[in-house]
Amino acid sequence: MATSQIGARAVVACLVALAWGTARAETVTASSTTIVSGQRDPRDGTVHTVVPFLELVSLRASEINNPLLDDTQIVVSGWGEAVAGSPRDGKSTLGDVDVAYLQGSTWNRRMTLRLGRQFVFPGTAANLQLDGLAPTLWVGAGFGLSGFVGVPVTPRFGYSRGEFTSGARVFWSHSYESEVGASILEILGAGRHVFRRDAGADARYRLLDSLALSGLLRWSLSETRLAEANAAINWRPCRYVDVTGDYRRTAPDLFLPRYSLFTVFAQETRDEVGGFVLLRPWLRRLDVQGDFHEVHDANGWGWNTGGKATLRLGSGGGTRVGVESRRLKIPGGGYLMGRVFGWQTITTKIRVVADFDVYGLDQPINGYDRSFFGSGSLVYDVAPAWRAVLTGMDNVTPYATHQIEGLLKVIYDGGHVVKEVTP
Amino acid sequence: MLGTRRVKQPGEEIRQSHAAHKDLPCVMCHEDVPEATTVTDHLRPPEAKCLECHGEKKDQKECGYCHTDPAHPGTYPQEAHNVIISHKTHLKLVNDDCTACHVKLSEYSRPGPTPPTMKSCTKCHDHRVDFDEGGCNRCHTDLKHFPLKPVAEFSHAGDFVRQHGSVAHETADACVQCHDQSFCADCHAQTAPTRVELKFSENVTSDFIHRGDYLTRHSIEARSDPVLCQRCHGISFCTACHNQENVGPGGSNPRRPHPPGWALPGPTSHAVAARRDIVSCASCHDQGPNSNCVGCHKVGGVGGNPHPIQWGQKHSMAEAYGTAMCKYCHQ
Repeated sequence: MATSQIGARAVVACLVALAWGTARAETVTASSTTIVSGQRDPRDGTVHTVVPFLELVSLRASEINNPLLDDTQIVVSGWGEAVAGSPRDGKSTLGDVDVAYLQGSTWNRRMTLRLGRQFVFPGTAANLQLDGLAPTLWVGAGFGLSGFVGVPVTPRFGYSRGEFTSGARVFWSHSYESEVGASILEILGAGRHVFRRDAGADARYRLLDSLALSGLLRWSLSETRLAEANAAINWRPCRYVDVTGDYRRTAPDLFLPRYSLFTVFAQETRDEVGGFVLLRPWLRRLDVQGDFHEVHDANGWGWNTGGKATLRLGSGGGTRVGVESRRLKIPGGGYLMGRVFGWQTITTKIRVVADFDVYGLDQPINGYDRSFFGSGSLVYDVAPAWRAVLTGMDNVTPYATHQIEGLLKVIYDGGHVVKEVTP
Repeated sequence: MLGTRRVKQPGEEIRQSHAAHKDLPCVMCHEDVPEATTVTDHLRPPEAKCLECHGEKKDQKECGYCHTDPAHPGTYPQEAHNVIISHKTHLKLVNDDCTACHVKLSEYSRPGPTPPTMKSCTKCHDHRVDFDEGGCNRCHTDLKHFPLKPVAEFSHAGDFVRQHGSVAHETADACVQCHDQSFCADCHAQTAPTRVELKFSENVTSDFIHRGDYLTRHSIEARSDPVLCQRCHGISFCTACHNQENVGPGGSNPRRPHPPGWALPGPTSHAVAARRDIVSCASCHDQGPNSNCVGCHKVGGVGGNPHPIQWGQKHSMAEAYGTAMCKYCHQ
């Protein structure tokens, strides 16, 4: 049933750990989302009907009493799906674990350990998801050392993104928003071939209350050239203005597996520079934002620009309306998008939501240069922490002459203590 | 209350009254407080401290003098302390006047936690600045248990969708003050079952990457910024879907999406498209040594040398014969 590398034994281990943690935890929070949808799915000239039933569950057991670790917690998030009708990939049941880790501190809270399926965000790891161990050691005076070792998680619909990964980062943390680090990363694929081997430096520093700088530099050790560099400056002089300028260089070929044949054809650089402005002339009522980024690669220049305005009316923002537009222009293609959306509170428990967008394509697809998409939702707050959402979607696109999809969601998001253990 | 929650509620409580002890200096009982740099349960007096004055009650077995349930005597309710504060530092600032912050003190007759409210802090500290900057963990160690205003009230406005990755790469500790990794998994999990835009279909004011008819524009977006796709999906994600749709060579009834003249030199040749957007090619044709590129472009093949200009200046022939990927063509 599971779709990724996580095996039956790992699933059992997760359940055992969760059961142990839940039994000993002082706080357990839970959330659940049930989604039933129905759609007409045109494939190879035939319209199929697909009705997926999806259940997503998250649990967090914290303050787990044990003699080994402080601040112990277990976090598990997973899903299961049963598909009625004609599933696209022929599988009628699916399921997997998104996150499942045990975390705790030791050595007078100087060391934090996290074991299991998790994300590693800092430095060159940059959002790497793995099954493994990630310790962090706080040395003192803001200095620290973190590392990880494990197996990269196999994506859904995909094959392995590496068979073994390890990395480390040293950092100096001046405050919550100011930190400087240096890191290394290696991902090995089948046959111990190098998938990625990078060294990098990262920094985020708040120079003034209103001014922050951030940047990341990643150097490919196997190719001895820059894999990625980005820098951004954010200026927020007051609550009414937010300005960001950023530059990013990437080497697209270095984001392919190094043993992929296509790395020899791919472009070696792509540059992007631009900025973003948010204005709130009528605080909490009107947001106006715009962005522009110039893009350059071996094919020439392009740009990506857009704007969005959102207006809130009524007490508590009971009515919201917005318009948005985006223009993407690259050599050989692009699109122009227009969108309107709205949100109206009917009663304290009921609101309706609508969204409509249209795309004009520079280059037709399947002979069509327009795409229309509309959706409407009825949201009902059934009870505290419980919500039901009924959504209908209708679209006319180059890939589907006319497609209708319906979706019913039942959401429980406790987000609060559901259990307190008394001694 | 200021970062303190009662997490255990024993069957009995201590009959303790601050009012009855009001003429005594606080530190007479709370003697660890003046040097305390963190908040712990140890800041409350132990039984031995009480017995210094009330020892005769214990000697006379008058347990009910202090314990509401003498048959099952216990200690104070344990509380989770989720706030960073140094009493040692603050006592100097208020000239040892505890009531500057502790306006209300607990009484047995008035149960419930009575730590200072946040107003005590904001009398001196400009919370608005911390709030706007999302600097919660300057004081709070764990905000997951507390009712918070919508995250949009923090620094998540503006270009946050584009910039949040940078924040997480450099200062992830700030994120975990409020968010478990399961929150990140909503969008970033490799194993995610559905698009986040469907999971939160009613959130029309949020910025999502794949909103609306993403299928139509996915090839344009991938050509515009292939790395953006690669960060999450990998080539195999593309291949699997294209094969399901029978536009890839691995499909059960594959179609040929390429125009006439694609394989030959000329205005519609694949060469230009491949140089511009190799990820698009790889989304169907990345089969390692079995990729159809190898057949024509290997050394001696009719396709000729596919390497970019200046490739030879950066790579040696020794590398070509020593790297598995290169060996596909340089046998």
